[in-house]
Amino acid sequence: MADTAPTKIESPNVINKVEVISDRPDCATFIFVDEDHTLGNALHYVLMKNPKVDFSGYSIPHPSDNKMNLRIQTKGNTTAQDAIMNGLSDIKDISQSVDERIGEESNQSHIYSDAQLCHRHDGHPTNRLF
Amino acid sequence: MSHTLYRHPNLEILEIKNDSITFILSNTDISVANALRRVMIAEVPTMCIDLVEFEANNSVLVDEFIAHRLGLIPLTSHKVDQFNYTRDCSCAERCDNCSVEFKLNARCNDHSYSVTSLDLLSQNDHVIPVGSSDGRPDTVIPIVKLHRGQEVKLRAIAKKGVGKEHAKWSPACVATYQFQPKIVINQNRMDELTDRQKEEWVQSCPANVYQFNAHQRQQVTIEDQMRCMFCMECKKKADSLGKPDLVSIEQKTDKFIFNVETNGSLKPEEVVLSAIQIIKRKLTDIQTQLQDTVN
Ligand SMILES: [Zn+2]
Repeated sequence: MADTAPTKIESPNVINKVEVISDRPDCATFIFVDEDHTLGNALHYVLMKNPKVDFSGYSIPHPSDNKMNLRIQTKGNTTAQDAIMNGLSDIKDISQSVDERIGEESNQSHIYSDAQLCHRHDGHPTNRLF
Repeated sequence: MSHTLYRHPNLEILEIKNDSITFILSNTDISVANALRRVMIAEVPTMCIDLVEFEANNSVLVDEFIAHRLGLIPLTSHKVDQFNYTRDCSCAERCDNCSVEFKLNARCNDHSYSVTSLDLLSQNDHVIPVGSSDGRPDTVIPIVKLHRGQEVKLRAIAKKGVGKEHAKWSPACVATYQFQPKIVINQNRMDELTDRQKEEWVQSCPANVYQFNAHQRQQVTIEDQMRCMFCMECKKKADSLGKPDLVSIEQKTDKFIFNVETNGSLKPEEVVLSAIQIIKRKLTDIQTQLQDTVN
C-alpha cells in the first residue's frame, strides 16, 4: 500500500481541546490543541475590543506543535473565563451575520457573469444558489 | 482602530463564475477576513484519494509516483458532508460511509496509451474526478503514459480530509483578499508636465492603472484603480520627474476584496459558505469544551 499522505493530524474531537492554566480568576492562559492563527488572531481582536479586558495575547510556541496559547488578563470586574466565552460569542455573531449576508446576496442573479455557467450540479439550470 | 466591535460585517458578491467568486467584505477587522481566508484554504473538507493498492504496474512511473498523482486529482465533493472522517467512523477499518473506492485498469495494446482521470472508475456517482463528466478533452487529467504491453491495475480509496492535513484536500486554488486602492492624481501638478512626460509617467505603471487621453485635452485619468498592486512605480517616476506630490496612493483597510478560485471539487460559493459554517461550528465546540473544563 502506498500512502499518499505522509503526515496525520490529530482528530478534531480530541478529549482535551482546551486546557486552562489559572491561579487567579482575572488571569488565565488557555492552551488550545489543533488551533492556530485562524482562531488566535480573531479571538485576540475581539478580546481587545472588550472594555473589561486589560490584556490579551496569543502565541504559537513551536510550529511543529499543534498548540496555541492565549493569555487573558481582565480589569478585575469579570473573570478570564467569562471574557473568552464572550469573545467566542462575538466571533460567532460576526460569522452569523456574514452568513446571513451571503444568503441575501446570492439570491441576486446579476452576480452570475456567465449565464450558461449557472447550472446546478444535478444538471438543472438555475439562477439561484441554494 | 476604533473602540467599537464591528458585529455586522457587510458582504457584497461582485461576480460568480463556474470556478471563481469575487466578493467584498467590509465593516470588519482584518483578523476576521484572515480567519475566513485561512479556513477556506485549510479547513474546508473535500474528498481525495488517500490510499492506493497496486495489483500491477509495469509503467515507467513507480507505484509511489502514481499514488501521489492520483492523490492530487480533485474529486467532486458536493456530497462531502454525507461522509465521516475515517478516524471518527464507527467502522473497523473503512466503509462506504467514510470512503469511496475507485478502480483503474488500463493496458496498452496499441502503440501508446495515456491513462487519464477518465480511467478512474468510481463506485459512487457523486464522487468522481473533476471534469470527467463533461466530456471535454481539456478537463481530463493525465496520470501516466503507457507503451505497448505496459499496464496499470490498482484500487484507490478516497477519503474525506482537510487542507491542513495535506494540501490535496484544499478546495481553493486561490483564496486571497486585497485592499481597495485609493488613488488621487494631483491635476494641478499634472498640468505642469509636458505631454511626453505624462505619457512616460502613465507607462511607468506595470499594471496599466492610468490612461493618457492624447486627444481629450491631454488629460491623465485612472482607467481601473483595482488593477493597482501598490508597487509604487508611479510614485518613483513622479519623484524622478521632480513632482513627488503628483499622485497619492493609499490602501483602504476597511474593505477586503476577496477572490476565491476552486479546483472544481466544490463550487466557489460552496467553499465560502462551508468556511463560515466551519468557523461557527469550531466556536460552538470550543465553548462547550470550555464549559466542561471549568465545571
Ligand atoms: Zn467508516
